[in-house]
Amino acid sequence: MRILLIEDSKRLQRSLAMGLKKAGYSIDVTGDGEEGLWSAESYDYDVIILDLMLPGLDGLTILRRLREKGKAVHVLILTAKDTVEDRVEGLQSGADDYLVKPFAFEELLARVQALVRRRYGIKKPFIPIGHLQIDTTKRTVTHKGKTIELPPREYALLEFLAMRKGTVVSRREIEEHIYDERVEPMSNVIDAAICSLRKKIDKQGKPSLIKTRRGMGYIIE
Amino acid sequence: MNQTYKSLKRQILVRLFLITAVVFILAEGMILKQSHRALNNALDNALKARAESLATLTEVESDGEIEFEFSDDVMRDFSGPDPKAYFLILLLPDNKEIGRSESLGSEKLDVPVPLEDIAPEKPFFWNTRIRDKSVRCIALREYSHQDSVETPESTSEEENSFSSRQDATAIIEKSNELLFLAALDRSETDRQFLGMLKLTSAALGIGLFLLLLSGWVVVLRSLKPLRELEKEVQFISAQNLVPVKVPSIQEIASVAHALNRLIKNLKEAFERERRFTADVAHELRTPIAEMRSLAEVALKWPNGRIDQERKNYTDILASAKHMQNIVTTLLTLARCDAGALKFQKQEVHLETIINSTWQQFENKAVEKRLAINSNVPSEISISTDKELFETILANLFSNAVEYTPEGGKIEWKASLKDTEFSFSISNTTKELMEEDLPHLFERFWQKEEARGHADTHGGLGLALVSSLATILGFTINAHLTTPSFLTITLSGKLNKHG
Repeated sequence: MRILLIEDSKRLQRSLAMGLKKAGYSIDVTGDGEEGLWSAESYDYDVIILDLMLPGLDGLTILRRLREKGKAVHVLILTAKDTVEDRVEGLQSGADDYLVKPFAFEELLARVQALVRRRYGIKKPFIPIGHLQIDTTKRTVTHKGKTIELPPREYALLEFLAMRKGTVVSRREIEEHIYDERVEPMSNVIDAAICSLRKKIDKQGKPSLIKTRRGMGYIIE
Repeated sequence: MNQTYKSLKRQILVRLFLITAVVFILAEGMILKQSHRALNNALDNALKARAESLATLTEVESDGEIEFEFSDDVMRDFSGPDPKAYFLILLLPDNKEIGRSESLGSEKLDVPVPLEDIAPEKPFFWNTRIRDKSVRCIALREYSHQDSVETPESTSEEENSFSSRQDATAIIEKSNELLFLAALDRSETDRQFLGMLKLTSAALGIGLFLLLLSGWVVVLRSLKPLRELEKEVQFISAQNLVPVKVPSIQEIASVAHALNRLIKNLKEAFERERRFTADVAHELRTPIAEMRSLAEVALKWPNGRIDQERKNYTDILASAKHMQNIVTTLLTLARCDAGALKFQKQEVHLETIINSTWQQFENKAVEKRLAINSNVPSEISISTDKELFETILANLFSNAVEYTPEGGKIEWKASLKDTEFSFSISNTTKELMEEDLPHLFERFWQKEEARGHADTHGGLGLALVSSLATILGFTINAHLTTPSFLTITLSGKLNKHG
C-alpha cells in the first residue's frame, strides 16, 4: 500500500516514514504544500497523511483542491490544531480521519490500516484466500494457525492482491502501491517478488494462488 | 487586611460645616460686640447727661457754700417704687455726701478703682448691682461752678436728706472738687442685647442648618459621577475587563480615562499572556509528536538494538508523554482563561463517575499501601459537564495518590443538602504547611521538597482543577485539618434535578 506523507517537520518525516515502511507500507514524503498537491494528483495513493500548516500551500487547500478534482483518495489529517472547530472544518473539507499531535504511533498505524481497508471495501481485518488467512492488523499470513514468515514488501504485495481479490492488478499498479522508488521499466523486480512469494505460500503440487494474466498482470481469484 | 475608609461625602460636609460655623460664630461675635458697644454707648451718653445735669444743679454760692438744687419732679426715675436711676454726690477729698437720690436709699455706691485713677472731667463707667438690679454707673470728677468771689468762710452745716417733690438745699462748705456718681438701670439694655443675641444665634443656627442641607444636596449631586464610576469599577475583574463610562466632569473624566487606559493595557497584557501560553503550548505539539513517534517507532521495531538503547527510548517516550500532559493542560487552562472552553451540562451520577475515575489510580494506591475511605451517597446526581468533572476528579485523585506518603490515608466524601453540593478529598501530607495553602492552586507551583516527584502535571494539576471548577460554577478551597492532613473541598449550588 502506498502512502503519501505531507508533513514539514523533518524529524516527523523521518520517524513516520521509517515506522510506516517497517509496517510494510511504501511511502513518499514531502514537506512542501505545492509539491504535496502535485504528488497527490500524480499518483494513486491509498492514504495521504496530511499536515495542515505547511509552507507553500496549506493542508486544507490541498484537500479541497483534491476533492474538487474528484480525487477520492483517503486523507488523514495529522495536525497540532486540536479544537473541535478545527476537527469539524477538516472533516467537512473532505478528510476521512483526523488525528491531533502529539499522537501514539500505534494509533496512527491503526487508523491508516482502517483507511486502507475502507478503500478496498473490506470491513473485517481478516482476508481469507484459499487455504491462507491474512490478518491486516497484525500484518501476518497464517496457514492452519501457523504463521508464514514474509518480508514486509512481500506481505504488502500479497495483501494488495488479496484486497483486490477477483480483479486483475497490473504491474504498474503494483509498482505504484508497493514500491517507494520508481521501478525501472523493463525490470523484473515485480516478477521476482511474485516468484518468491509463490514459493512461500503455495502448496506443493497445487496451482498457485496468484495467477498470471499475460500482458495484463496478476490476480488472486 | 480590613482597612476602614472615610467617606468623602462626610468629610466634605463636616469640614464645610466646621469652617462655616467658625466664620459664622466670628461674624456673630463681631456683630454682638458692636451692638453691645453701641448699646452701652447710648447708656453711657444718657448717664453722662445725667451726671452733667447733676453738675449743673450743683453750684457754689457766692458765700462759698455748695448748693445742690434737686427736685424729684424734674427727674422722676430717681424715685418711686421702681426707680431706674440713682445718684450720689460727694465732696472730695473727704467723700462728704452732698446729695443722694431717694432711689439709692441707704445703698452704697463705690467706685471700683482708686479715685486717683479717674481723671478730672473724664467720666468713668462701670457695671455693678444695686438692690439686685444690674446697673451701669458713671463717676465724674468736676470742680463746682463758682459764681462769686471766693470767700474763706465756711460752714459745717450740711443737709443731706431729701424728700420727694420738695426742694432741697444743701449748703456745704466750699470745696474744690466734687464727685458725681450716677447709675442707670441697664436691664432694658441687657434685654435688648439678649434679644439681639437670641436673634443672631437663631440666624446662625438656621444658616448652618440650611448650609448643611444645601451642602448635602450639592455634595451628593457633585459626587454622583464618582458614585457611578465606583459602581462600574466594582464590575471589573480579570474576566470582565470592560472600559468605564467617562463622565462629563473634568476631574473624574481624567480618572476614568486613566482607568480605561489601564484596563486596555491590562486587557492586552492578559490577552498577550493567554495567546503566548496557547502559542507556546501549540508550538510544542509538533516537537513532542516528533519525540514520541521517534521513540515509539524505535521501540516497536527494536531489532538489533541493545537494551541500554531501548531503555533510553523508553525514557524519551516517558518524557514526551509528560510534556504532552503539560502542554495539553496548559492549552486547556489558556482556553479556560479566554472563556473559550465549551461545556455541556448533563445529569451525572456521582458515585459512578467517582468509581470509574478512581479505577486508574487504584493500582498505584495499592502499590503505595494507601488506606482508602470513600463515602459517597449513591443517590447523589449532579448536573455538570461529565468530561470536565472527570478531569477535575482525576486531577484530585492523581494529586492525592502522588503526594500521600507510603502507608498514608486518602478519604473522600460527598454530600448534597437541598441544592448545596460538596465533595471533599483529604490525604495525609508530610510536606505541606499552612503558608503553602494559598499557593496550592497556582500554576506551576510545587513545594521544593515535592519537586522530586515524577508529577505528571508539572504543577498544573490543581491549577487546572481550580479553573475548571470555576467554569463549572464550583468554589474550591484547601485547608489542613490537622497539621498533616490536607483537605480540598469542591462546593457549589446546584440546580435541583429530578
